[in-house]
Amino acid sequence: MIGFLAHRLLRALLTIFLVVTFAFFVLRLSGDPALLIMSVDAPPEAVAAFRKAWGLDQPIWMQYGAFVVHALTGELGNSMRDGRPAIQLVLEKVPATLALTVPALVLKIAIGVPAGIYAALRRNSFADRLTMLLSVAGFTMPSFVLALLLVLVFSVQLGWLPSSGIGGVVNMILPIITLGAAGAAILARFTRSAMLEVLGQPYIRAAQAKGLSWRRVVTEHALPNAAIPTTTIIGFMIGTLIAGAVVVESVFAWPGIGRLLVVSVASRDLAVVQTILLLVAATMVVSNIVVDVVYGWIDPRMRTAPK
Amino acid sequence: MTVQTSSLRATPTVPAAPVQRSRRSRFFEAWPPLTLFALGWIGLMLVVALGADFLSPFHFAALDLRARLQPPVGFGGDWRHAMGTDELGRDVLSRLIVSIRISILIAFFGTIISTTLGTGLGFVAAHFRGKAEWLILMLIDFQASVPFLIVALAVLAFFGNSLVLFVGLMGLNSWERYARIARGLTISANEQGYAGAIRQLGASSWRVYGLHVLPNIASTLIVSMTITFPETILLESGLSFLGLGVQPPLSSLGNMVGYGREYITRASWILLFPSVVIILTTLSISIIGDWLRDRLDPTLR
Repeated sequence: MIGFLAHRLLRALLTIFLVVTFAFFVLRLSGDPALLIMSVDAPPEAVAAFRKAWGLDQPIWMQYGAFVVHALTGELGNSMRDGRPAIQLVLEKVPATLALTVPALVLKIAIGVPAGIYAALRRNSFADRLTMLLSVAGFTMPSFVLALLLVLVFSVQLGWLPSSGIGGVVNMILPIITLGAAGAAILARFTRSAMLEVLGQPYIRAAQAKGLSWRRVVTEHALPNAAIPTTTIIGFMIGTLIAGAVVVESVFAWPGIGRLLVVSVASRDLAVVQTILLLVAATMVVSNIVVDVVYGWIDPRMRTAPK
Repeated sequence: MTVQTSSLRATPTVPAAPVQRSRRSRFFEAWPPLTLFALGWIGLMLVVALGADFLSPFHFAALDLRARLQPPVGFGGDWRHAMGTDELGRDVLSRLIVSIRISILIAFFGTIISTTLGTGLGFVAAHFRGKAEWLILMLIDFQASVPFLIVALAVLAFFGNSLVLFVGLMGLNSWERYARIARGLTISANEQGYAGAIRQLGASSWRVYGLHVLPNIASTLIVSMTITFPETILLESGLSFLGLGVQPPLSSLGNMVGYGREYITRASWILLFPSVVIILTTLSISIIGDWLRDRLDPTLR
């Protein structure tokens, strides 16, 4: 278990390191940051002073080292728009995003997992086919289209719910449904195939042969085994809690990380974009480690480190 | 008596009926109606994309200020603008046709680039092993660690936007899927007799991978392309919807939806038509993908 964790942590650190490197090189390849940030007709002395202040007059490998050290200690520069530290600006928006993505995750699990199990147990029935068709439709539909269709029906036609903005719980209903629908579709499909895989295993036949009722075969043998791959997908969804709502937040004018990212990209607020990139990567990597630990806990076969 | 005669008369036709029915049901088993519909829709989209110049009744940017916000046929509009017009009097049908062309083109080239890049890297990893493989696996880890939408947004923030850069960016989406598949399948192919036998006959590595390994893993790659293609359409339309993808005066399906959003209360047709096209296109390719997977590649089930 210790070796397994150490291996995972090493890979996680490597990934974070790669993301930091990526952020650095993308920044450098896109041109001289001094000229990018300052106006074209800025006096040369000011540009030189800026270069000195940001260490841009030093050799590239020293800049890279400094950038990595700064990034790892959480110093990612100031926002160009309001001058505050980018990390502060970004972290402020986290609660708003989580207020949408966490209920959406609950919704995904509450709909997707039972639907997938049901479809698998009634394989090739009408209910199964309908579930799968809905599932394909759910994850091939872009979230902004679903969001706008919901707005069209519930805000424009029926007038029941507000179409955007912040306020109370009513403002969160449509975004949460939009986010939940696609995830539920993916989860249903995945759970179904995991269940079908398990139900085809010899130990299920063995459990039946020793006279267990079908209910006990399903609850005690099939479900725990099918839970293992399903956990992976749910873990991946936890990793996207921060960044999974970029489009939906923009449609509903919800002031979260995603909205901030889009606005920052449009105004080329580089420090903020970089900070979000790193935050997202860190979330994904941490959630992957957590999934691996949970995996080792529910599946003893995984506890040995891969060679 | 009448019952008897009718049943007697019916008997000779009985043997013929199951044959007929089974032929038809066999046809629909091989070509399910949903798949036929999907194939038809994709065919239509290809025709529209290729023949956009001949099909669109107006120039996509032509203004008709006397016919602004005209509803489509059936909702009070006339056949001159079958799908209505937008705020500037531009014909929605013509814009839709041009948008389909742009979106399909971007998704097509994006998928081709990502397949070629990923498969190539997969072959390299499987051929050289050692350090090259380690490097490629690390890149795969990196690609899988951050949602591509975020990476794409970051790149667009730093580099600005142009159509060429944008298509290239779409080509970086999900290359890691092909790299993984190609690497895994190539390693196992190298352990099988046929690759070794051809090598013994003196074939170069290019020949072994291009003419022998590639055809053997092609079906898996093609099925994966049916996943990447709609993904690319979704990614492109999402970015364009946010105003960060295809830039005006060009128009893509996502652009149209983003523009139509402003008029959702007054002129919902502006966003409804491109939305329907996006949904039907991605859905059709997914259905075709499932069907192809069942036909070509039983291992992926």
